[in-house]
Amino acid sequence: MTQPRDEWPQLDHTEEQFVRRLAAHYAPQPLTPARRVALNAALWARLQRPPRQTRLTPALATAAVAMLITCLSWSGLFMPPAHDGGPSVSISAPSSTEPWEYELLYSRELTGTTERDDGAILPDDYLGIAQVFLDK
Amino acid sequence: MMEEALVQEPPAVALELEQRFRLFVASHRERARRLAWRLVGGDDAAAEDVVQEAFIKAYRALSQFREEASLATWFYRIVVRQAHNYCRWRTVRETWSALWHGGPQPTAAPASGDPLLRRRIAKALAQLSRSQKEVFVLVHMEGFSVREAAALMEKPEGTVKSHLHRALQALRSELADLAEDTGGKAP
Repeated sequence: MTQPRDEWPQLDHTEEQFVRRLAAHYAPQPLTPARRVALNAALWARLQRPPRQTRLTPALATAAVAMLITCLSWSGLFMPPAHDGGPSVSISAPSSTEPWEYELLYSRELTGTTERDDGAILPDDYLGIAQVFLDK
Repeated sequence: MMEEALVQEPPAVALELEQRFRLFVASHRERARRLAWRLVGGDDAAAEDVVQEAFIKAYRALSQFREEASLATWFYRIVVRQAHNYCRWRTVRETWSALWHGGPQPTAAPASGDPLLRRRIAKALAQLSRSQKEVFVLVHMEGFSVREAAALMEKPEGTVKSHLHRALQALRSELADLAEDTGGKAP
């Protein structure tokens, strides 16, 4: 790196002035002696410590956050949409359904019969109503 | 003795390496800091972090390099990569900061000179591609030769020249007022 400049891009006068101005305006202040001593001390102090895998820490932290966000996003995809006030329909059977209701509703499909007497399976109060309205 | 790599060396060799490293630090600190500062967008603290990290890596690899020139090439390559990594993390931090706090947080520390012009130059450099920016800073600002920059960046010299040309054109277009010829009166 201390070799003589073996090859230098050819710049015209204007370009050279422009580059020189850039370099002059865009440069840090030189280190003060005190700052140099402090930086050297910090460097040797770091070298005295055993090498640690601290450089992986930010990468791991970011990966963990990214995974968390991904998980949250994915779980959001499978969640039901927000309730917008419309009617909701449940396909699950009500837990309070009585056995006679199942028999009344599905017995025809299961047995294939078309006509039968439901009076045998209806409760008494239903039978009373049926007698009034169906003249049974 | 200080580091594991040197603990394994015989004391005389370790002492020689340590002495060699001190000379290396003294020779390259200012240039490395300036290079890092320019690559990270004018941030003093970030530049010092980048350089310290590169020196630590150089120290660990010291015994593998017999020639100072090859060590220096490797060291500056580390500086350039560290600076690039810093810029990537800064972008991530600024993105998160914008998300959580509603706007980007200032990162660069104040320095001497014209801060507005410095910010303009930093912004113009940041608009270049990574390779263009690195090559321009290495060659035109830090005085590395094309061959040195090519070796440092592990790219063909022709590619380096091409990057230099494009970077210069882009910067002259972006900073047209600085590109005007003022009779050679650089500040």
